[in-house]
Amino acid sequence: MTSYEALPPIPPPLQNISRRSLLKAAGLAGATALSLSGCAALGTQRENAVVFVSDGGEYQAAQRKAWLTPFQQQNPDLRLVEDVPKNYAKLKAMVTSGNVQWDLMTATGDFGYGSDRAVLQDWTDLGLPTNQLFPQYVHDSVVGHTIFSNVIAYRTDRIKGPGPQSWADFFDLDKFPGKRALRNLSNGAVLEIALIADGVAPEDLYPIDFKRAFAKLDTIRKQTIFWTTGAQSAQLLADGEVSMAQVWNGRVYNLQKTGAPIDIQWNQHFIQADTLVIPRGANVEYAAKLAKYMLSAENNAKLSQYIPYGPTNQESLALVDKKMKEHLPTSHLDIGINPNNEWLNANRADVSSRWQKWVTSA
Amino acid sequence: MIEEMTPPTKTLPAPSRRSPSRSPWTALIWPGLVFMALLFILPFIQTAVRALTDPGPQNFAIFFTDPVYSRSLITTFVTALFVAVVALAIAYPYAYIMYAAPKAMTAVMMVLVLLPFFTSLLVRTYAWTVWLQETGIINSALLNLGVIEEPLQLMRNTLGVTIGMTHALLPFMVFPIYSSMLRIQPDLVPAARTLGATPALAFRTVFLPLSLPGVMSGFLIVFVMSLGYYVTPALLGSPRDSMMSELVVNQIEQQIQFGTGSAIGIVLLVLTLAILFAGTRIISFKDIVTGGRP
Repeated sequence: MTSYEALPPIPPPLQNISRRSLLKAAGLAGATALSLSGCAALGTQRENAVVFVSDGGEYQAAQRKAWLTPFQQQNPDLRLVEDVPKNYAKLKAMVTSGNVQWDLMTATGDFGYGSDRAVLQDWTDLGLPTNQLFPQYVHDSVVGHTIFSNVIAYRTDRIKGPGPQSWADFFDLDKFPGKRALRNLSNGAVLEIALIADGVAPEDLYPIDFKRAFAKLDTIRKQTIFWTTGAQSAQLLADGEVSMAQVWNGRVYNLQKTGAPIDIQWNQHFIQADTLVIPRGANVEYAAKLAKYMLSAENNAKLSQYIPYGPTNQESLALVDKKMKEHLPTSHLDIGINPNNEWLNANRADVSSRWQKWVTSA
Repeated sequence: MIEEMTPPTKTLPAPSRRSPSRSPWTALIWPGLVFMALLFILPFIQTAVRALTDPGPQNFAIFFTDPVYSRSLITTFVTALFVAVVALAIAYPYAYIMYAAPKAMTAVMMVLVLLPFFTSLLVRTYAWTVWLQETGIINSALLNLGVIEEPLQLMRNTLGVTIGMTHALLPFMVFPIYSSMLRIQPDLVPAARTLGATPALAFRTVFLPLSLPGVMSGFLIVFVMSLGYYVTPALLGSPRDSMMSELVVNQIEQQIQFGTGSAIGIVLLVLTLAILFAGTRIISFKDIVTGGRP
């Protein structure tokens, strides 16, 4: 609470600011400009580096232990740099502006097919062990390296006896009362889950019958909470906000580790592959070298030592971590359902706009 | 505290009235200007150009063809208005107590209102979830006490979004109001009292009008900042409460449609500027920024 009188008088040196000070300021601006150009130069000093980008968190930590650190040790003359998080928009912006900072990025869902190929390098002739990989995860510019899954997880303290056996049970509020959680993402398996619950055969999922899917979703809508982040889905289950949820299997595993009364139903689990893409204009040689390392039969199995996600290399299946085996989606492939990412990609705008219209309406 | 004040004299000019152009220190504005030009104005122009050319001005048609966008526009502005009104209702008494309280208490209150700044927005938002959800602290307490039979819906609706955003934005309301109160001549209210005004009348006719520049400034700042909120509505609201920023993120990051995303951003910006302009009909732009400093 000072009045103006209480302000100290302006000291003389400040009043006598001179041309010298101006020059200093100009020098500062010059230095800033120099350091900015320094940043630009850094971007080009990447001859011996390969930049890997993934989702961060526990997942990228597992990738680091399984693949990145051993790869670095095996290739001491290469410099492996990690960045985080993966971002399709950023990748596209990098490629279209001709300033590509990433060499190998992970991708999920429908990214990398169709028109997205314009910003990606094709995997053809880059020496990947494609004949060993599950064929459904090998595409022109997208190659799966890890399999995760959308499963039904439910609280055993709320749902007694035999739990839900299918997505139809998930939608059956009479048989299994309680709230549900589904992902708020048009291409996040939720439309397919509704159709499966309504009796559509996995091979007839596409083209998606929107009317039927939304009609099915309407039946549980009032009892459903929509999650946007993986952490949120886990929290909803852990706190008992919902009794049943669509969750990634790795999140359920973590909850079970903490002793939460949560069980998993693998029936009709909806499989998604985490894939590898190379931005067009990246350091293809080194990106391919790292990708080859991650996908080899021996190495592809190693991620399962740290996180319950399975390999896409069929010859890795026998090599996965024994303790983790029952928690891996790859141990339940016979009862899993695969998405048609090409169709989802080709219809991305339509699928998304219909989903948003439904999910934001009262 | 009032007794300690020295009455200000009219002869001394306020420091800010000195013509700024005469001071060579004004050269220091250049780094700021260059920074703004390179990192704000230039990208902004790029965004505007992209909205019009990638692939064309039809990007804006989405507001007419898809009800999601027009509805979200309304949600965004209504939520921002709610937040600004609630924040004002909390911040004005808070600022007044800060103003009237002893120095030590003022300091404590200032730290308390600043605390949210020192924690990550994401953490704060999840912390609100712990309080507000159906199995949360408030609901379990009320259920255990037998006050309620069914859990109250405190989040995944506009209420939750308003609570979370008000908490985050409260400092932006408290400080302009508080600083505008500090600038009120401390002897004006006692003067009104000596002339026979009741405390309430003196407050209403003298203190309140003089603190209004801070109120307007805080209100507009909070309102405008609310328009761009993303994390809080995404976590504390329901999909129905989707704000414009969430739709921008969807266009850019999920659909990878930079043109449409830019168009939504531009519409939000233009409407925001329009509101700021309308605000300047009531209060000058300088007062919005400075909280009414003379």
